[in-house]
Amino acid sequence: MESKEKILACLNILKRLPPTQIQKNAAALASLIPDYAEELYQKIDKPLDIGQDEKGNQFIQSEFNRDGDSFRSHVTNSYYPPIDDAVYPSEALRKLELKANAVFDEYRRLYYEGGLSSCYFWDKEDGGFATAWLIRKNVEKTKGIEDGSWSSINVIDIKTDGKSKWTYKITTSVVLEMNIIQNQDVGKFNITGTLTKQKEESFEAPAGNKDLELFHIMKIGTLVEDVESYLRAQLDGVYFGKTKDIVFQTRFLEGEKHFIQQRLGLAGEFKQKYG
Amino acid sequence: MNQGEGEVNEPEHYEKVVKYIVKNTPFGQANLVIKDLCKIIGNINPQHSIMLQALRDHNEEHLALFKGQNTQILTNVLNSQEDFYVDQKNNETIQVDHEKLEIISRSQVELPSDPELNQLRDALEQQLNLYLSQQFNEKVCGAYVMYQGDASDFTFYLGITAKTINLPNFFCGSWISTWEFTKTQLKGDLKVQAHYYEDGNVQLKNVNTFSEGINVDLSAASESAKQIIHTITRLENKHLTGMDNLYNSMPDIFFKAMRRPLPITGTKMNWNENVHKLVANLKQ
Repeated sequence: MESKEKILACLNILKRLPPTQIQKNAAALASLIPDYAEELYQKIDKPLDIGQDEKGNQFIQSEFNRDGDSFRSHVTNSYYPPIDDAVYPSEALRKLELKANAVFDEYRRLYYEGGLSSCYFWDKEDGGFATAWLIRKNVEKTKGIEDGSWSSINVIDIKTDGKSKWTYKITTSVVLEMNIIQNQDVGKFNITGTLTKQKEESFEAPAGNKDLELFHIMKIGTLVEDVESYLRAQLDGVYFGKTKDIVFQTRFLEGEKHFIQQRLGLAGEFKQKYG
Repeated sequence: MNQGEGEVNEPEHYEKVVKYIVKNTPFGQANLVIKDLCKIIGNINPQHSIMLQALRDHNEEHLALFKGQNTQILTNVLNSQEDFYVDQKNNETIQVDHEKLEIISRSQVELPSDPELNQLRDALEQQLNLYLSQQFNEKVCGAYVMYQGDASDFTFYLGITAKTINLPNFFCGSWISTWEFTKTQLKGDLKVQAHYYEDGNVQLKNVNTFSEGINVDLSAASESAKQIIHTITRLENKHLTGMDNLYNSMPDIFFKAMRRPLPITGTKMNWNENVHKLVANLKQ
C-alpha cells in the first residue's frame, strides 16, 4: 500500500508542474522513489517519440512497445536496438495488429492529413488483451507558430465474459504543445498540456464469432474516434478559452474593467430582483 | 524497508529535488505540493527547514501577497540574506508566516533615506495605485516601490502582481512583473502563468522583457512619476493586447493544423467499409 500512496503523490505533483518539462519532472520525482520509478514512468503521459528501422520506416515509441531500452516496430515486429529475450504479442495477436495498423492509418489520414500512427497489442494474463493506438503529429513554422505537436495515446482494455459479450474500456490522453514565435508584442508564449478521458462500452459478438477480428477493429476504432473528437473540442476550449479567462480575470484591457464590472453589477441587480 | 529508501531519506539527496519542484509549482499550490513531497520522502514535515526555505524562495519569486493590516507584496530586494523583509516607506522590518501568507510582526528600524528619492517613491506609489485600480482586479493585486542609493546614483525597484487562485475549480494564474530604473534606463521582466488541471494539466507560460531609455528629473517628482508609470503601463498594455490578439487568431490556426474536427468528406469515418477494404488489400 505504501508504494501506491507514494506513486499517487508523485502523480499529483506532476499534475501541477509545467508539462513542458515532463521528462525532468518525472526524473526528479523518480529519484525520490527509485524502487518504484519504473511504475511511475508507465503512468505518465508525455509527447510520443518516433523511431525508425533499418529501412527508414518510422514507428512510434511508447511504454506499450518498450522492452528495456528498445522499442518494437509495428511494421517489422522487431526491436530496435535489437535485443534477445524480448516480449512479443502472440501470433494471433500479431495478425490482428497488422490489420489494425492498416485501418488506423486510414483514420489518421482522414483526420490528421499527416503525422504518424502505430497500433500495438499485447496479451493479458486474464485471457483478454489490450492495445495502444497512437498518433504523433507535428506542426511546423506557420503563421506565427514556431512549433507544435499533438500526441494521442489511446489505451484499450478488451475483456470477454467467456460467452459472447465483449467489453472495451478506453483511456485516451492527448498531449499538446504549442510554441509561438518570439514576437515583439508578446515575447515567448507557450501553452502545453494533457487532457484525459475514459469510456467503457460492451457489445455482443457477431453470430458464430464471424469476422471477430474485424469486429474488434471496428469497435475499438469507433471508440477512439469518439473520444479523440471529444477531447479535441475540449482542448480547444481549455487551451485557449480557459487559459485566457484565467489571465483576463485579474488583468483588464484598457477601458474594459469598467465595462465588465458594470455588466457584473447589472447581473447582480437582476439576480436580486428576480431571484 | 528497501535499501533505496534509506539513501533517499538523506537531505543531500532530496534538497535539490524539493527546491526544483517547489520553484516550478504554480502560485497557490505550493502548500499542497509540499505536503505530497513529505509523503514521498517520509519522516519529514512541512516545517522542516528545507521545505520552509523552498517555500520562501517560491513566495519571493512569485511576488506573493501577504495579509496584514493591508495586503502587500514583500520583496527581498533590500535584504537578500535576512529572515525579515524591509518596508522602506514605513521604516519597518516585517516578519511573515510563509505557509499562511500572513504578516506576523513589524519592528521600527532606522533605514538610509534620501528626501528627493522619497518624494519620487511616494509619487510613483500614487501612480501605481491608480494603474492598479484601473486595470487590475483590486481584490487580488499588489505593488511595491523601493529604492537604493542616493540622489546622485540610484536604482528604483517596482513590482506588480495579480493572482487568481481557484483550487475547487482546478485553476490558478499569476501576473508577475518586476521593473527597475536608473536615471536613464528602465528595464522590466514579465511572467504570465495560467494553470488548468481538471482531468489533465494544461499550462500557459508567457515571458517578456522590456527596455527603454528614460530621463528622470528628481526636481519634478510628480511629473517624473507620471512619465515612468505611463511608460510601464504602455508596455504592459501592448503585451496584454498582443495576448488578446493571439487568443483571437490562434485557435483556428493551431487546431486546424493539428486535427480536423471531421474528415474533409464532412462525415465520420466509415469503419465497416474501410475495415473490409483495407484488410482485403493486406492479403494481396
